[in-house]
Amino acid sequence: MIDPHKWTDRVVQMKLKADSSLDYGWVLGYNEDYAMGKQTSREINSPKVWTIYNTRKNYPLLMNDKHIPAGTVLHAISYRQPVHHDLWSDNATAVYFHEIAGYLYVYIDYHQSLIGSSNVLRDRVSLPPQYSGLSFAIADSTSNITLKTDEYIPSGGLILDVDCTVDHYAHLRLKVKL
Amino acid sequence: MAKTANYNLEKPVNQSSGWGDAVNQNFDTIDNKLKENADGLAGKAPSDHGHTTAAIISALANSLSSGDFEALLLKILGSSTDNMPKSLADLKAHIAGTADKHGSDKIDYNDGATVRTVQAALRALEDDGSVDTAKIADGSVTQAKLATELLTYIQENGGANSEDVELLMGLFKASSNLYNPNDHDELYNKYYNTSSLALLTGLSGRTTGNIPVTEGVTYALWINPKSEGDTNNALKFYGSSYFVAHDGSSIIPWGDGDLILTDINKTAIFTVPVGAKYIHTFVSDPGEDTGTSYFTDMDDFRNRIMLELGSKTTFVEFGLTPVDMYTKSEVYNKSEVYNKSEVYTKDETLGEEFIDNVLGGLFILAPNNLNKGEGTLTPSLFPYRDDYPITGAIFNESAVLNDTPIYPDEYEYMRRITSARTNAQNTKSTTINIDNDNKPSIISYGFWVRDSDISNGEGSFLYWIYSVEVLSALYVNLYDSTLEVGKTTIGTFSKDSTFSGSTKIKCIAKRDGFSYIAITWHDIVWDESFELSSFLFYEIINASSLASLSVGKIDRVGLNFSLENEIEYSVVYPDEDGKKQFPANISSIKNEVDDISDNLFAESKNPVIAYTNGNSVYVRSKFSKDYDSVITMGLNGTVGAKFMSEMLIPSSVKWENLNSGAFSIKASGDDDYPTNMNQGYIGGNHGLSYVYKLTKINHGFDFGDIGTVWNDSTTPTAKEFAIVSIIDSDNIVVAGKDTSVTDEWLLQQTIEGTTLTEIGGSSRTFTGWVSTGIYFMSTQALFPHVSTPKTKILIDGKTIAEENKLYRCSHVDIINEYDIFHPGKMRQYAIDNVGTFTSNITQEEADINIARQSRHNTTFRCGGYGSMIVDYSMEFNMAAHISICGFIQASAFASSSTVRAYAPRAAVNDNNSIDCRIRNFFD
Repeated sequence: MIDPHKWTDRVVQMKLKADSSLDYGWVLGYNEDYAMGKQTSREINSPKVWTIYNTRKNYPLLMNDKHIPAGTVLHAISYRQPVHHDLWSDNATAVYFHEIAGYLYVYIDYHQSLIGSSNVLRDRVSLPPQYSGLSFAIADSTSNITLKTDEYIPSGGLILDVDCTVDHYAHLRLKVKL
Repeated sequence: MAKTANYNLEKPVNQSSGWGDAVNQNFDTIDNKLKENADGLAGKAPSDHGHTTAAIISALANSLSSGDFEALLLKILGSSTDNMPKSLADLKAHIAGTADKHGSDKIDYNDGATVRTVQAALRALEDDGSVDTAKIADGSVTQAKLATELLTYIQENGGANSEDVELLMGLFKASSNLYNPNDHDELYNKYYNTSSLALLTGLSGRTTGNIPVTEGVTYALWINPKSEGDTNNALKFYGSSYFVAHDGSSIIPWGDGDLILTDINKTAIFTVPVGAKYIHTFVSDPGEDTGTSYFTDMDDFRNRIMLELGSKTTFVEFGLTPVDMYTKSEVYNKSEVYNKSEVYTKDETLGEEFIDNVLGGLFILAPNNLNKGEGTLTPSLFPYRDDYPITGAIFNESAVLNDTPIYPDEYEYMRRITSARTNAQNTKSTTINIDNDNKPSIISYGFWVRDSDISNGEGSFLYWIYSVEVLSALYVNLYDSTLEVGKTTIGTFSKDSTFSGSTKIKCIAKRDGFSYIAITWHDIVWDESFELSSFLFYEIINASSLASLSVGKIDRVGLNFSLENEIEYSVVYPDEDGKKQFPANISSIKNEVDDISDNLFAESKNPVIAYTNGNSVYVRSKFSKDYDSVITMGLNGTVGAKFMSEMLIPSSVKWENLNSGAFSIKASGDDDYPTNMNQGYIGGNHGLSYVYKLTKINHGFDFGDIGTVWNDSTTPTAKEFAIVSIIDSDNIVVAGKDTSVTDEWLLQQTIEGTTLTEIGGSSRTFTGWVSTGIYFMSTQALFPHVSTPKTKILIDGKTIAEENKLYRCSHVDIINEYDIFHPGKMRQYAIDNVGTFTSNITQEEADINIARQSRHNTTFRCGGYGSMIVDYSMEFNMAAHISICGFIQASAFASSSTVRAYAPRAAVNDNNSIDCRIRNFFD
């Protein structure tokens, strides 16, 4: 489910196993809630979004070809971390999370190529127990993912339905108040 | 004579006489009236006195207008009355409608559900483990939710006081304990399962000891449902129980002796009577009466029967029968559980309930891996026997010393708790089978001891561990730290070098007048010749030196304790006799106390392990089922902190090991971020490109030539290159003139021609050189391009990390700061000071003299689960042209042939985009 207005804020790279199934991965991305990491800021400051050289080295952009006066302060928050789903979900392509400024940001991705296109998938995403009971807001979601547990993170895990029968991708991003 | 108006008292006329009778008559009248008044008031106040509060309020209510009422409130409260009741009737309605905020236990919602106050909810939780049953019933509310709801309610409606907050926190805590993601495992976390089997006498009875209970709480007692346990009489085990009061007496609430469970799958439900402290339990089989045991195979018996005690509400809530619980948990199946390290390593299954009630009494040997992996965890416990006689105990000295332990197999894998009598000696022992091929690298144990006992003075504890079959002994004493220089002994009688290691002793908790002393041997290296098959763990409490000692549970609960905080004692070997008993300075150790909650199962609370050797920082945290993440950051890069590597390490590798078996998933040496500004990349591991290294054998320059300026052959106007450093006798570095009229530097580049001609001075020429473009930075041009970096490492945001110390923490901050020097002003400094240099320009000199274009502050926060947050800010002292700014960059991950990528939600704008589909790069 492509959002034509969405700027790339993160790139997930996944290593394949010998049988071509996904192994572990690694993600590089911006927090979009703060400062220059906001898409609105990036749209103003840069016509370019993200560059990947043929060496596969990633160069995300926040500002491009701008003159700034003395006294200017530029700042943003980004993250980088390895990605693996197996502790948190049986079906997600990636589940990862990190804490920033009093919030836990949770990223959950699904792909049709992994979960199939014949049925709506019911999945459970279990986060570490210290996050159980915390309230959250859905920061971003594709329309083909339905979170069945609302308001707070149940200790039994987040339950969600993923429908990739048509769209090849589903995504959910939660912002959890710590 | 005039008279008063009310009581006709005489008023004598001035200058008159003969009024004495009149005055006396007046006094009589006054006296009578006073008496009347006094009598009339007796018994009147306050109930029917005319000025009661009710009367006043009534009078006010009848007379005050709403405006007057509001004015009165305003006068009393001194603040706005915008939201205040406008009348007493309104005030009454307000109080009635907000009863929860005014001390009531509960209020009713419109939907009929009952919502309790915090106090009421917590009380319910404490009483019977339940919460708002009306909401539990529809499955929508858990304790965690309730706590959240209550918090929200308080936040939105006020009414919280400090007591409320405290209680709410307690509720959260309780909720967290009771509800866990792996709820099928967590069920067992709720039980008061400190029961176990132990021999009573011979083979005719099986006591399960005293199990702590809480007054007023309803429990269920049942027998393990493995019906095949008794091969002779499969379905008829007897379970028996009675309560033990605080004073040790028996309480038998069901009358006429023991409660007998005559069958498996039967549950006795009872509420603990007031005064009860334990429930005494045992199981036996019908053969007991005949004096002949049906249990011909004790191993079989041990495997197949268990008496369990659980909270009634726990399985009722979950709608499970004991059979279901047993099947799901497998906790008591020794062959599976105690060989499955994950039982103890999935931190999400380990709440405090688990610590308190399930692990209580564990003695853990963790062979190779403190946290996880395939190592065998071998718990062992001791029978709780307050009533052991001084003599004739099952475990006596002769049995141990003669290497004839009684029923050693019975105690393998058993979970027991123990207590030593006052003046006890040689109170208990147990054996623990150890695979000789899997000798433990760490052994830990501990015990609770009453503060009142150890505060009396020096005493001694001796915990001996024998290798049963070879009669060598591993031997540890907790010595007096003053008399024996803190000597703790681990070794053998024969002084053979069976293993070496270190010992740490720590009081890690204090509760209810007890101190918990933990003793850990770690980094044990075994001599291969030592044939180890089992330990006989043998405790001696030296009555002579610690007469009043009482020991509570042998109770080393936890795998992830904090080694670094424990007190280290050197490892030496014992004397020949191996039996010396020295008084132990427990009283000093107990003062070195950490909160047990911070030391036990630290992984869930502190998911990060951090270590620095001064050159690098290593950060390890859980990543997947099989691997942990290890991030390595350098500390002494050009700009201070620098990325080095991202690795995975098998989770089976013990937690303090940060590199064994680790492999790289990503080379990150080129991930330090430079900004492309003015003329190119600078910062990170970049200096301005380019300045030029001119190579000529024996070029003839010395440091005095730094700052000289040379023209190249460019026409019509030559470019001007200044010598900025002397690399060696064959290489110098020159930098082109900054032609910018602003602070956005623009240094001349590319030397034209083959001859450089000195401007001014002796107009020397320099030829025969070979030019190589290099970065204008210290590592290449020997000219500092950034200020001395400031780098520090903070543990949990507050403690500066010490070198060579292992930390468990929630996160590690690597904080870095440096300034970028203006390259044109670097060159100009050399020119301005030509002829003065006796060396290349040093870092200290540059720090003082070179103008700084921008400051770069970065915090790399390494948190749990491999995460790293990069908070980057740049403060510009000068105007700049930003060509590319991103604050992060990342070299390729893994190998190209096996990597796919996707960019969540990103649009496709050409065939080469990485978009939200998983695809090859550059498909």
